[in-house]
Parts: sequence; C-alpha cells; structure tokens
Amino acid sequence: MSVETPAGTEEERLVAEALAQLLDVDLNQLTTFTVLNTTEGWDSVNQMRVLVYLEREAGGPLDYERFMTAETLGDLAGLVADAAGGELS
Amino acid sequence: MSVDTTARAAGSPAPASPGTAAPANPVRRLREMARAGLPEDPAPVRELLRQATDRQGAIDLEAAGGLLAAPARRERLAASGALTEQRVAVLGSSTLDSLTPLLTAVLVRDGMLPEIRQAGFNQWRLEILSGAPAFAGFAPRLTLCLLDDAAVFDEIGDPLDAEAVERRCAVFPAELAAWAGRARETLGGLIVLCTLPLSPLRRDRLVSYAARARLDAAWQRMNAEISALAEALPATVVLSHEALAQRAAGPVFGAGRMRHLAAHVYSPDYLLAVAEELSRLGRADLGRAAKCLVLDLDNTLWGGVLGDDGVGGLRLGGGYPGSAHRELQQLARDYQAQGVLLAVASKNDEDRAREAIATHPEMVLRPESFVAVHAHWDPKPGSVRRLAADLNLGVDAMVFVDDNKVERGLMRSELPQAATVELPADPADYATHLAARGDFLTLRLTEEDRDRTELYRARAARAELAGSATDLTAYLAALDSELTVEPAGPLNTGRIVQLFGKTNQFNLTGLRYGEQELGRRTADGGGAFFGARLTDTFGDNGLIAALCLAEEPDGAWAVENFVLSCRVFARGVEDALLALVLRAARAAGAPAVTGRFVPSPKNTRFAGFYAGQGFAQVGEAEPETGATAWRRPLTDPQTDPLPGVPGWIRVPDDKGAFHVR
Repeated sequence: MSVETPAGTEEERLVAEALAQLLDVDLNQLTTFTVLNTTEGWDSVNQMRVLVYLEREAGGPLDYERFMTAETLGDLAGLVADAAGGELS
Repeated sequence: MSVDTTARAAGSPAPASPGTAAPANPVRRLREMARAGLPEDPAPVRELLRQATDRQGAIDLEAAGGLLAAPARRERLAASGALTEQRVAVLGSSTLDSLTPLLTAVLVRDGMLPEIRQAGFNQWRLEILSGAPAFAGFAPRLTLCLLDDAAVFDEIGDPLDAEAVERRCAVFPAELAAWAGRARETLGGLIVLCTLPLSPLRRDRLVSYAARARLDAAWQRMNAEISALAEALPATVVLSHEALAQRAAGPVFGAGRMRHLAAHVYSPDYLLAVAEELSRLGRADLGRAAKCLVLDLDNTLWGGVLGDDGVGGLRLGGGYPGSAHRELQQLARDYQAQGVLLAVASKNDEDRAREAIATHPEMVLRPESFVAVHAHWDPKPGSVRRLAADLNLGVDAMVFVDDNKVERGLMRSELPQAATVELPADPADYATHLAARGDFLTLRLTEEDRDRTELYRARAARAELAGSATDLTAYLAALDSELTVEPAGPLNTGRIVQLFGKTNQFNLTGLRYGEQELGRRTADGGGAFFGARLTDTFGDNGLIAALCLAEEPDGAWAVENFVLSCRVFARGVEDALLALVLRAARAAGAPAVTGRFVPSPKNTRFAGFYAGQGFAQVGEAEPETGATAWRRPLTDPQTDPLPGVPGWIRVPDDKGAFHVR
C-alpha cells in the first residue's frame, strides 16, 4: 500500500469516515499513513468526538491510552479492530 | 484496490454487518453535498437533515451540524434567504461543545439560520455577573442556561449533611431567578432555564432509604420552584428535564469516562433532546408554530376503510385498535380547544365521509370540529394548498397526518414546506407520537387565541346575564348590540370565506365559496359578498355572519347563501340582516327578494326561516335535495311595510350597505 492509497481495510475505512465526518476533511486524502497531529481539526474537542464515534461503531470502549498515543489513521484502525474483536457491528 | 475503495468510500455506507441492506446515510450525502458546494435552495439540505434525524443518532447529527457551521457554508445558507435567523446564547456548568453543532443541525432542518454563541466552560454565573463580555453585541433571542447538579452541590461542603443539602436546595431557585433577571437585562430576549436532573452517584452514595428519600424530597421541591419561575418571571421559559429525558433516545448522563476526561456530564442523546426542544422554542419565538392539523380519515381518524367497511364497520372507540384512533381524535379535539384549526383530507366520497363524521357514535370530532372537510379523489397536496389559502395561512403552518406512506411521500415532495408526520406503524402510538412533536407549541396563547378565550368567557358572561334578566327582550336590550354590515374587502375576505366554509347550522343553502371565486364574482358583478359584525357590552363578537347576494334575471335580489355563527344565535341577528336586505332591495327598486333553503343534517332547525320572514314558497320542494325556493315581492311601501330591525339591535349605518352589483 502506497502513501497515496486511500484507507483500505474495513477498520481503516471506518476511521477515515469518522475523521472525514467529524473533522470535515476530504475522505480521499486520508490514508493508512495520515498523521493525526498534522490533520486539520484534530484538536482536543474533536479527539473526544472521534473517540465517541469510534466506540459507537466498534460497539465497545477503546483503550484510552492507546487512543491518545495513536499517531496515524492506521494506529486508530488497529485500535478499533482490537476493540471490536474483529466483529464490527 | 484504490479505485475500488474510493468508489465505495464515496458512494456506499460505512462498513455494515453482512446481510444488512445498504442503509441510507444521509449525513454522508450531506457531507458530499457540502464539500461540492451547498445548493442555492436549502430544501435538499433540510430533507437530508430530516432523514438523518429519523435514521441516525446524535453523533451523526452533531457531525452534520459541524459541517454546516463552517463559515463559508453558513454564508451560503444565509444567502439563500430561505431561512429565518435564530440567535441562541448557551451557558452552562458542564461541557456543552456538542450542543452547538446539534442545534445547528436541527435549526437548519426546521427552517432557521442558526447564530449560536457559547460562554466558556462553567462560566454561566461569572459571564452574566461580569456583563456578558462573551456575548457583546450578540443580542440573542434565546438564552439557554443548562445546568447540572454540580451547580447545586459545589457549594455544599459535606454531601452527607442532609440539612446542608436541604438549605442549599431551598435557596437555589432564588439564586437562579436573580441570575435570570440579570441575564435578561444584559442580553435581552427569552431566558430558557431547565430543571436539574440528579445524577445517580449523588443519590446512590447514601446508604439508607430514608436519606435517599430526604434528598429526593429536597431536590424535587427545588425543581418545582425552578419550574414555577416560568410563571413568576417575565420572558422566561422553564424546560423539564424529565420531559427531555423521555424524548432522548438514550440515557441523560454521558459515559463516566467522558465526564472525567472532558467534563461531559450529559449524553449526546440528551443534548440532542435539548437541541430539539430549543428548535421548537425557536419556532414558537419566531411566531412560526403550526396552526392547522390536516387529518386523513381511513385508518387514521378511524380504523378501517369507509368505502369498504361502511360506517358500521369502522373501528373507533371500544377496544384496540378502535381505542387508539379515538385517542388520536381526543388529542385533536384538545388541540382544537387551544386554537388549532382542524381539517380533513381524505380520499372518500364527500357525502359518505361527512355522514360518517356526523353519525358514528364513537366520533369525538364532529362536523363542526373541522374548518373544512376535503373528501374527494384529487391529490391531497392540492387540498392542503387550498386549505392554507382559504384559511389565510402559509403552507408551513399546516401539519399533515396520514397513515399512508404514499400519501406522505407525495405531500413531502409536492409541499415540503408543510410538516408531514411520519407516523409509527402501529396506531396505538399515533397520538403519543403526534403530541411529542410539539408542532403547535407557542410561548403562551397568542393574541388571537386569547381573543378566542375572551370570546368564550364573554359568552359565558352573556349566558349568566340571561339567567339574571327577567325577560328575554330586557336581556337583549341590556346587551346593547350593534350590528354593522361590511362588503367583502381585502381585510375580511378570509374570514368571510372561513365563515361560509365552517358554518353548518345556520347555513341556508350550504354553498361555500373559495377566496378566488369570491374575488372573481365580486369583480365581474356575478355576486356580492358581505360580512356582518356584532359588538355588545361584553365586547366584539367579530365577523358573525356572511351573505352572498346575486341578481335574478327579473331584477329581483337573490340571497344565494346566508350563514350565521352559532355564537350569536337567538339574538335576532338573522332577522335584522334579512330586514336590511329587504330594505336595500326596495331602495334599489328590485321587484322582490328570493331565497333558497337546502336542508342538511345540521340546518333543519332553520327550515322555517324564510316563511317566518314573510316569504312565500315558490313551487314544490326539489325531490332529490328537498330544497325549497322562497320569494318576497316588494310592492308599494305604503301598503306593504317591511319587517323592521329588532329594537334591541342598533344599526349605525342603516342606509342599506347591501347591494347586488
């Protein structure tokens, strides 16, 4: 997967959707390697909104420490995959 | 893979469990619309928001509102001119960040252009005490103060000290009242307070039932006093947290972690319920509450299909589902009693529909409950449009209730401005669902409603006077009635049309006229329309009668129809008006005045009206309708004196306002 490739796995698409929705960024610009800290709108308020959104989609709580230290979109996707136990609802 | 993913990301829903039919995702469509540039007309945006409300959750609506709040998009919405600005200030004791996008979404959905500003976190008190610097130059129409129980408990040293808690609960309402007064002076507009829910951990830390009950008692007394501020303070609305909680799709309080992390006390669902209530309030504040409820008949006002089942086969009253339809009728009746106009839009033969309404023993609503019954086979949007025109209302004042999805879809596409109620599948929930929408909510009774109430009060007073007067003539004289006749003009046409439309008892021929017909016939001399107004010692009864006069080929004046409001029955008004017609006809040189009486189930009481006025019947009654024709020749004034106006009615301008051309 190249840097230019839009997010690919199911969880990545889910996270991309959440970021596009809540941060109002272009879905097609988001990839596995998108760096959260340099993404426009990734502030403390929106972080919380993304967390709530992802927890709803995952159907359970996400590990907060890992969420706060996640650097890329792919990191968040991995977190969602673990929380959902591979069973996205 | 990238092409495939992109296509899916843009056009298909978020990953859904296999087997689920692709659910529509209105917020995603809204996002695509927003990124491509919002359309000039915000109607599609509003429709997507409506769909998002029905199908998605608070978090999605929050995202939708966030998209629309971006300055360029807000500009675009403002430029359309289709939304009415609503300015809201938000203060609170917890984090309410998400209330702004939620409120944005629901206000735009409901036709308003939001301008929302928030005070800083937990700044509700300080902000107002320091002269509201965060709202300088803002001038909100609504100022919401949404507090949580910390606002009370933060000043209690020991939460286990029941007396301290009671003391604090006892003084808090006065504190809030003082705050509200200052906020109103500083910001103006309407102050919106809310009672405070008690979070479980406050109560559950107490280990005795007695202590818990004592806390509950103090808390409920406090909330009761906060509710009472609505009455005690000017321009203040108090919302009930219990009502909000009932409407919310989820719990009142948010997840514990969000409270610890970000001081989010309330759940997104509860904040959405607050936003929804503020939108209703915003509409009421702008005078945009709906005014007319348009109801379908078959499987809505009653169970079953009249055309198939007949009147006797309808399910209404008794056990379920008849009880559910009756419950809806009772709700409509209570709306009507509070000034909401009711109408029917049904695909039925008109005669059968009217007969069922008039005769079914379990009907709560009766023919006189409705300002109009549109029972025919034409499309319903036409009925609603015509109704709005006849009643002099905007289409956006109409609320349409129909069990049939197809009819609802048609109404939504043809008349998106009207509110089409998405009914639940089971009639058992029809009434609850309709009532919860709050389409007709007003801040208080409008001037007009108050007048109506006044009218009923005056009527009651008249009845009382009737009891005390020794004889009827003395009573009528004591009323000091004054009757004025006015030709139809721009100011009274709506009411004249309405009077013809909704008068059923004293309605001599049953002919009803639309506003357009009235205008056309007045213009081309094909008829002349009049209203009559009655005032008395108790006040103005308003326009209480309407007449349509036309000229016969032989020059005689024909009373085409004559209706009189039942509010002024038994006061000789009908005699006075006909006497005035006769006088004017003679003065104009007409050879006679003619009239017709077409019997209906409601007007039989007045079958002898023309005979009682010295008219002679012409020919036999028509076999089909039972209609009779009447004529009073006008011969020599010397030998044929006309009946006079009853002595207890003054007619200030009795030169004969009536004419036929």
